[in-house]
Amino acid sequence: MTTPTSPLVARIICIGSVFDPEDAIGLRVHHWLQQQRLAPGVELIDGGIGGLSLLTHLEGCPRVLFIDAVKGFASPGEWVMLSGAEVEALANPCDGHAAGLPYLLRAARLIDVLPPHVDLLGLEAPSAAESIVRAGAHALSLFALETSPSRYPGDSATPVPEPQ
Amino acid sequence: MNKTIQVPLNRVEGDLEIRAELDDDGRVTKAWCAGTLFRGFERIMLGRGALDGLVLTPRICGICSTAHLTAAALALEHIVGAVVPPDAIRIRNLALMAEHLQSDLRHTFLMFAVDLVHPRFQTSDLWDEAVQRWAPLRGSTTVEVLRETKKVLEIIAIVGGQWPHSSFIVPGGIASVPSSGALQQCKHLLRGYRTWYERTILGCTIERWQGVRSHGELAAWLEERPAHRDSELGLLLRHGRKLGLNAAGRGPGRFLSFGAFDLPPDTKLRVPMGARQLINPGFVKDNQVHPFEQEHIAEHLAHSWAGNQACEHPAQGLTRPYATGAEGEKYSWAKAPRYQGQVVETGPLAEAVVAQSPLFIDLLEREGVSVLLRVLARLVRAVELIPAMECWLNEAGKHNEFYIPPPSLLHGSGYGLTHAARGALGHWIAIEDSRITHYQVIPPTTWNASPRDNDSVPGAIEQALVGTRVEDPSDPIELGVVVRSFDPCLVCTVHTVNREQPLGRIRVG
Repeated sequence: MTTPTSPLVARIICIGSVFDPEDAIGLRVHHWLQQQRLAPGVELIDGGIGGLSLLTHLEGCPRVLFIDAVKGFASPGEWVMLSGAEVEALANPCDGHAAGLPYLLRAARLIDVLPPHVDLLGLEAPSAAESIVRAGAHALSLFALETSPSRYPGDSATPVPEPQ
Repeated sequence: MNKTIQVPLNRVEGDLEIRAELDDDGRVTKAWCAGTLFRGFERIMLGRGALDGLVLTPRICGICSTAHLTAAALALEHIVGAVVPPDAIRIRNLALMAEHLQSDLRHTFLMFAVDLVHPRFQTSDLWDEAVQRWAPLRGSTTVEVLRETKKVLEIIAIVGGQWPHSSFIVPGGIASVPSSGALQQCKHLLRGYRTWYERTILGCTIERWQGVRSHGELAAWLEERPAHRDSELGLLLRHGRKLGLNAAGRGPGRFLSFGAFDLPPDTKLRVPMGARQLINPGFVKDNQVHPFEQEHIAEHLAHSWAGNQACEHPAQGLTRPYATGAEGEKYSWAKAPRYQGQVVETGPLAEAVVAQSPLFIDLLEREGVSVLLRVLARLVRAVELIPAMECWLNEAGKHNEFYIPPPSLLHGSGYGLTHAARGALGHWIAIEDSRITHYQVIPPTTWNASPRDNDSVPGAIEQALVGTRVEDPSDPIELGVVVRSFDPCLVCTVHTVNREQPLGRIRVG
């Protein structure tokens, strides 16, 4: 987690399973974003497969951008932006055992911790390294910062590890 | 003529599929429990640095990542004989217990109780009340459980410094020094949780519930006050009995506990004489408790897509995906762990039976193992956990020592045994030149949801399903109730936003 020194403006929460290549897309974007300069007050979080554990990160946050893999929204390697309302609408109350981001957002609304602004930057799997970079750059642009060279002197430019 | 149905369970419990054979009356005559996803993270561990398990294994599961972290650290400590300072033991226990508290209630009310509001169960005159409380995404208890479990999890975030998937437990202690302010905040959160748990879940104080020690005392407790009858526990017991859940889902009748929560040597917590852990290790067979020895664990492979048919102890066993040969015989990516060659179940009920809890022993003798007994054990486990957490929070920080550097992790093998919320969890590791050469994990659901073994004896859930009557094979909700009484979790894996909603459908074959 990257801790901001400015007042909290937004959180970028990347989610997915590190053990599943197609689901690890969000975490690969997280890895890339870690090496970029974030706008003041923007916090970057490795949400992993936290599920409802991520409720803690929604509380008191004015804006949240989730980054995760999606299915059926675009061609492989492309990204889509979905509003929180669109994602939440996919929560199916008739299937009480469903989980995932729609359920998390509906749960957050129920206990009054849903941030005023929520978006999902969804990447259609599989995604090659350039797709990861494009999506990461778009995430940065949402917070008014262009892609920057690595924060760390000596690092090669924006390595994006392939899943093992 | 027998009919076979397949029941894919949803992803929140991992990738688990049940196949059941029904007779003309709709009763299950045989069941098969299949892990449908090859995990293989043991293979990912090979060749990595000795400490990498502390970062990777908490990501095996989003619900019980502290349990995996604990097992990974204990395995490394076992190799070098590391000493852990008492205050670090307290904070480790505190975090893992907070994880149990949230998991037990989330599973009970967000997963298990959801089945009990199915229209099929309108036969109970308590159905309307159940719907009002437990309906998914709108029931009054559903909302309260979401809110309160979120708060109690903040304890892990405070002492772990990161949430989710914290890696603060390290060989020799913990990687953080909790300030007195942080401990104070944990006390505040725990106090709030106790108040809510007593008022809403139990309907009485923890101390009053501890006085319920037999079947008769449980019946008397239910009638004692409206607050008891109307509590979540009271409603679950009454609704569950009307639905016959106290006679459903028997299982193998043998129980296993690895033991968990080491007692700090200087604690004032009152525990049975000679106890070294809050949750005792043990194996129960024929109602007798036997000492637990991890050497008696073996994983059978005859019905698993995992290589040959030998029995393997996890210190030697490998993860070898093997999907060809013996077609029809092999049906699960999960192995079949056995203890002394026996099928066992693990989880909160196993812990209570191994501990010889008077209430659970009496209920077992009178009514046998059941869905309702498993749920009861899960729901009242907090009665044991909360007082211990309070005690250790009060004791923590007196010595202000949370870490003792362990000897170098160069060579050797070891194991770490603990309990996740859903039962016994073990990690087995070997390292050479500070690199991992062997890693095996047996999570609790591998015991409960195991496939048949080398003698073709069905696993615990497979046995528990036999005899269950399914009213409508196109919607076999009764099977879900039995399976979810075990709180199954093969692995939390993929949760993508999907334009289609393929989850929860039933296939009839």
